[in-house]
Amino acid sequence: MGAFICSISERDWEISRAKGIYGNKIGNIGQSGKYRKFSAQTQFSIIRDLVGMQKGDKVFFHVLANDGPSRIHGIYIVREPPFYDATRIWKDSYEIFPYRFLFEPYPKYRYLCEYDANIEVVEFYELIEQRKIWSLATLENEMNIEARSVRKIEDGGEAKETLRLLHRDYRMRRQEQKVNFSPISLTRNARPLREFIKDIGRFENSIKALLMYKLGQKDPALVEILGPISDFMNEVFIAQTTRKCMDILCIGNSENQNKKYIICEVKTDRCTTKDLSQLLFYMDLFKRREIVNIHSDLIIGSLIGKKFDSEVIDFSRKRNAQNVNGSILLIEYTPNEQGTDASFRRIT
Amino acid sequence: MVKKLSILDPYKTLCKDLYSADIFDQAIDGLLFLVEKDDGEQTLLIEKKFVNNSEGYLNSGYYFIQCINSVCSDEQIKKFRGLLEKVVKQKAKGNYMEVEPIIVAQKYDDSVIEFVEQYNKMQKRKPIQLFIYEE
Repeated sequence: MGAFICSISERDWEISRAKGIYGNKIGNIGQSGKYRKFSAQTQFSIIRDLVGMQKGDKVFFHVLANDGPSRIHGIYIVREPPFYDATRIWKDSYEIFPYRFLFEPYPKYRYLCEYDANIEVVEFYELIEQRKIWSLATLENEMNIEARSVRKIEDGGEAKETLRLLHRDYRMRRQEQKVNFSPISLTRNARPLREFIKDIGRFENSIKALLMYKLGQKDPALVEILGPISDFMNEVFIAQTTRKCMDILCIGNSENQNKKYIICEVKTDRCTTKDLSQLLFYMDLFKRREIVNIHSDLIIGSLIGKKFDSEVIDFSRKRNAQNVNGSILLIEYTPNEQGTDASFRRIT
Repeated sequence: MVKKLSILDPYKTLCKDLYSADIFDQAIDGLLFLVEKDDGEQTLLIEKKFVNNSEGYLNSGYYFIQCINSVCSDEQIKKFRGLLEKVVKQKAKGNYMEVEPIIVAQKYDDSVIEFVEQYNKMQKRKPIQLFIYEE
């Protein structure tokens, strides 16, 4: 199972919490004061962040307060995986938040949700400082970092630490009145989010979205190439201070039950030596992180693209033959004619 | 890519005096201390230090050298990388920028030179330096 943290405004949280529905917007108000839909690349990034979500995954909410510091609320589980529905739910004059999923209180910790348990976001950042949260550097929107509302976090340690803080502060940070849950059901208009992954081969976020979906589905062709995967995340910080993200990180166990991390870099078209060099650099940086046991964990790098420079294939083969310091997986993808799906083939 | 050294037995020469083989220059490398050697593999781990006024000597990285008294083949470069990996894990917590790798051999197979060129181009690490020796 996976874990997510989703940002939402305080106004919309009231409705979301009661009805058990979250929605991601498809546009914003620009400098001109007019509402504009996001570009195709940005819309695919929204789908990419959501589409790996499965029924039963854990969810925390990052509630952006109007006045005062924002908060983390939880813990909930996904009751209906992501879908598209343009039925109006929230009170916003422009936005219908159509990229959605349904959720409900996590059964074991229902009491936390019933009294809307929360922690101040600064407590969450403390976990980042302590490296107990390692896949994120911040929840804020930063100048040089893509704005995102849905972030996948590690299901093991990161979700557990957040849950621990919710319990730690429960007595102080809960509302007095019980929340009235009145969960809504899927409408007839709802269509699975998978149907909205298009233009594969044209946009980087489109092929990334397909990969996230297939990882969530434990797609046999991908499992055949990557091996069994227990958790996966996208846009994971390689190191908190570098502000660089790896496209996808897959976590599994190696044959001797040590951890196996696969760092995936995805290119829309050709993978060059520059791309391979970047991947090798990310592998070296990732090995130095606290979560990695350099003596026993296995770090694998994967380049995913339509084509590869011959030097990329040549060097990867030679490096793999030496079997030192983690191998390189080159994975070629071929989009179908409609650009709605792709097949994957291992080159090295 | 490959630099020449005018010496007879690089391992013995380096064990005797680290500066005598024309690989190191005290003005650039500072103070060098041999910290580990393996006569079987003919490897040397050398610590670089500089003098810090308040704390005495401070570490500024390592050199890891292997001397090969024959032609360096694909098999030997594989072995060298395995040994280097061990050193980097043990001495530098996995940080390849802390250790400068050097190979001294009689000759190199073309495939080794090609691999090292690609490695140095693509890996953002300290490059592998290659030396040959002859009288």
